[in-house]
Amino acid sequence: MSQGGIKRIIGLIRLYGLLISGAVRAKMQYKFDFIASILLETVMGAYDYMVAVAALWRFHTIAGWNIYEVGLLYSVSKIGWGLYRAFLEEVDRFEGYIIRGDFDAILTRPYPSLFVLASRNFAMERLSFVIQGTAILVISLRNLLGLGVLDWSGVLHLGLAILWTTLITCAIGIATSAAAFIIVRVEELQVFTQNAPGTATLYPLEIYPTWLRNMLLYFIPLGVGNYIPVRYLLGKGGSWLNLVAPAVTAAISLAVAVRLWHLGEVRYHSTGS
Amino acid sequence: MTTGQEDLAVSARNLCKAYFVPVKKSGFLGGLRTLLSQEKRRVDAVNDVSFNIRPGEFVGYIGPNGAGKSTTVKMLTGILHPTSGEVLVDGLSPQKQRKELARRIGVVFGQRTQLWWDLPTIDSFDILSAMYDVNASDYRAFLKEFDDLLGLGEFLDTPVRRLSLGQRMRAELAAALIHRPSILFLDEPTIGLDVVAKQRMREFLTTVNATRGVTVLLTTHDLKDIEELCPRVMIVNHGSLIYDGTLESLRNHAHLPTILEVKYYKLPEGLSAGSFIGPRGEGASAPLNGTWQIASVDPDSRSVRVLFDREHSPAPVVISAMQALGEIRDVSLEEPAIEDIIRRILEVK
Amino acid sequence: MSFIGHVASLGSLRKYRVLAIKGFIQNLQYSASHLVNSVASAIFGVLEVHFWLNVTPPQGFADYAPITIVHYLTFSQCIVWFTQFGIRVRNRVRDAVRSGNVATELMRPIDFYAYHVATEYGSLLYGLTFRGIPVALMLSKLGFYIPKNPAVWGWALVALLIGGYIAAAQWYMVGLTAFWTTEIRTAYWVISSLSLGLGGATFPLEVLPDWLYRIARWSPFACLNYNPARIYLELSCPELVLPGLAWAAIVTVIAQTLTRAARRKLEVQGG
Repeated sequence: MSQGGIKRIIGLIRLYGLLISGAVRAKMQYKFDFIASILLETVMGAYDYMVAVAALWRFHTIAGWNIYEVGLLYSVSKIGWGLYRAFLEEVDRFEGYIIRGDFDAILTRPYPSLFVLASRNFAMERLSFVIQGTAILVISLRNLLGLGVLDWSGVLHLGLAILWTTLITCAIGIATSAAAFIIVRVEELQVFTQNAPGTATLYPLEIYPTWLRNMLLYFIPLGVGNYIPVRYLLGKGGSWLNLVAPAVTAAISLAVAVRLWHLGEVRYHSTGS
Repeated sequence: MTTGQEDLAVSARNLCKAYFVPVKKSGFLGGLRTLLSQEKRRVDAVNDVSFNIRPGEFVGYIGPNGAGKSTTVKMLTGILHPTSGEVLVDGLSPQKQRKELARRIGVVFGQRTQLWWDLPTIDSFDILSAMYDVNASDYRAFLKEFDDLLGLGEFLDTPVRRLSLGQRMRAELAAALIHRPSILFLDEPTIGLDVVAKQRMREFLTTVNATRGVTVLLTTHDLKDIEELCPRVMIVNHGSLIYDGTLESLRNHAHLPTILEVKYYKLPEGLSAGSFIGPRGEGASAPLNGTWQIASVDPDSRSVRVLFDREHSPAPVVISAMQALGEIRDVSLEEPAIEDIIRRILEVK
Repeated sequence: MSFIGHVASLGSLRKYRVLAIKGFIQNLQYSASHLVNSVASAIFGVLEVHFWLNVTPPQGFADYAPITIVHYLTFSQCIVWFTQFGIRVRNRVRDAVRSGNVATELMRPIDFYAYHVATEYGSLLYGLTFRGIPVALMLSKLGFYIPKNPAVWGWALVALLIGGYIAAAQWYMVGLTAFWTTEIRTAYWVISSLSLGLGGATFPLEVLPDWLYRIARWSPFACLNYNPARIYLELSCPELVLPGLAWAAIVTVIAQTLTRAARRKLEVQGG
């Protein structure tokens, strides 16, 4: 990469940091509300985990996975989701921009539209998912490390899995929101491409029929982010390729998503809002 | 491409923007059939529009709703791509070089904000100065200068969402000029402003255009804006450009009469509404060349209102004709309202 | 005014039928998006079924065989829109308080509580038909339990209607908290968690630890989902509607008391 290219990227990152700090400062004006709502969301979000805990407490395993092993799947997924919502909140809510015609203002800036869009906000309140996920991760790791099921190199790979899951989640989010260029309202589509797969991948994919498993691995590849590597790390099958697949999937899905976004943008240039 | 094209601020040639709208089907299951059918109807939002704008000009762009004004501006700023035709802004193609062009132009949308809603106004400026790589000393100079011009200092620390509309528009204008663009596009910037705020904005725009040489393209519904600001005006209707020239010649084009009101010490005899006057004050019952028509006679105020076409009869000639009829106490001239002029132009074309 | 007197003043039933119909019809304009939501609902239903099928032991648990668990869940998914999402009423009451309209509403000759609950009941019935039926169609591949005895259908329906009434009342009360707090979110969250967790909408209550199970099955929330499901699946006898009736009466008294308190607050404070 050229000198100029590196300088440009550093410049963009600094600009992003500045833009984000502005959004964060705006939120901090309402400190009390903000902390209260994070706490509330963290607790409310723990509900489905509580159900899983209740079920696994009584029945011990699901498809051979115990509560702590499921906890790993759960935490990687939730942290990835939380980071996606925190960084790309405006992308997630993109349909509003099309409806209100606010995308025009984004196009008057001298930067790629995805960058301008994303840098308008850093949704700190979504970090509640990250907090939930981390808490569950810690609980699960304590047990698994103690039992020797996992070692510290496994923890490192888990960290990477979180990164790849975040990127895959972002890719799915970007691709779904790009549909807004054509169908405008994507809130309901998001339920199918983001919420449902997100819920499904909280649990080991063995419990689903083959067609659903394949959907979650090859079409909306959220399963590749947590299930594939965690499975291998827990010794349930697979090979070192399980650790490489998420990285490759992340790269490919991001590339596809950004391409879809550009296609959508070209269409916007031709049809307007 | 002819030489001199690069020197133009804006050069638009045969711009067209067509939308293909699904043909609505009526009757049984109409909604469903509309959704499924491939038939489309062509709607021309902008139809073969061409114009050149030289650097430093102040151009008004007016027309009824849906005439294609916003669509044209969007094509000039790279938001929309034309269906056909070419456009260059500051020598760059808005379609191919959008991001590069964005650094050289400023855009203000009247009804939508480009500022950060929850942050103090100054933060929006800070962010924009970073975004456009404005160096520190230029930025400081900007803040001082625009405080003088727009009085920004009084609300720099107020969050944008708590600004009044007038304050917010001032902030938007400033924000659009932080990076010293050479061209400023304004889309209905005075909408919703009170009289004082409008005046302030007009003064500001005049200054910016005169002292900094910023080319301005102003889309507006407010015809007073045009009167006060735009030496040149383009009128667009149904997607086509129907007039491009000065305000003066627009008046002449419209052939709407000027009204002369004359107050006499003593009302002359024999004048009645509808009759005609010649250049030496002689009466006539029918219109002849070089005569003008009496619109009304008011015995109480002893005044007479006369209609005449400036193009044919200069004002002094008409006044001296009226003087021949009696001693004049007071005289006033009323130009046709610009709304009427525009309406006449739109009717004719 | 005594309780009996109050009930007597509720007057003829006809106007409640009209309100319920109005509440039903209000939802029709959103049918298209509701259909999409139903598909989503069905998908979540499928995910749930697979989860519970795999977590419970192959021999089943309590009095549920594995196939019964599936039947429990498919039935629950169809009725969930009837009891779990009183979106309209709680927002309607909250908005009325915020805007001050509540003062005029309270002065109307019709009982405030009855008005809102009747309208909401119509909305919930819409949910039962327009969402329940599409979901049922989509889940038919997983399988439904079909009772052979028509009396079972009758009793299940009764239990369901009682559950719907309790649901309308509870969401009404959530909206009512707007009189005392501006944001009804806390009340909503509390009631929502309780009715989901203790109502048996997403899993049979027997999954819960024993102590919690005992509390849940006698709570009003069990009437929302668990009781109707148990009757329908012929796992419990129809007498299970009796606790439902009792709870319906209790909930009505509580709601009426709260309404009176709200009215007093309005009269004292003026809005």
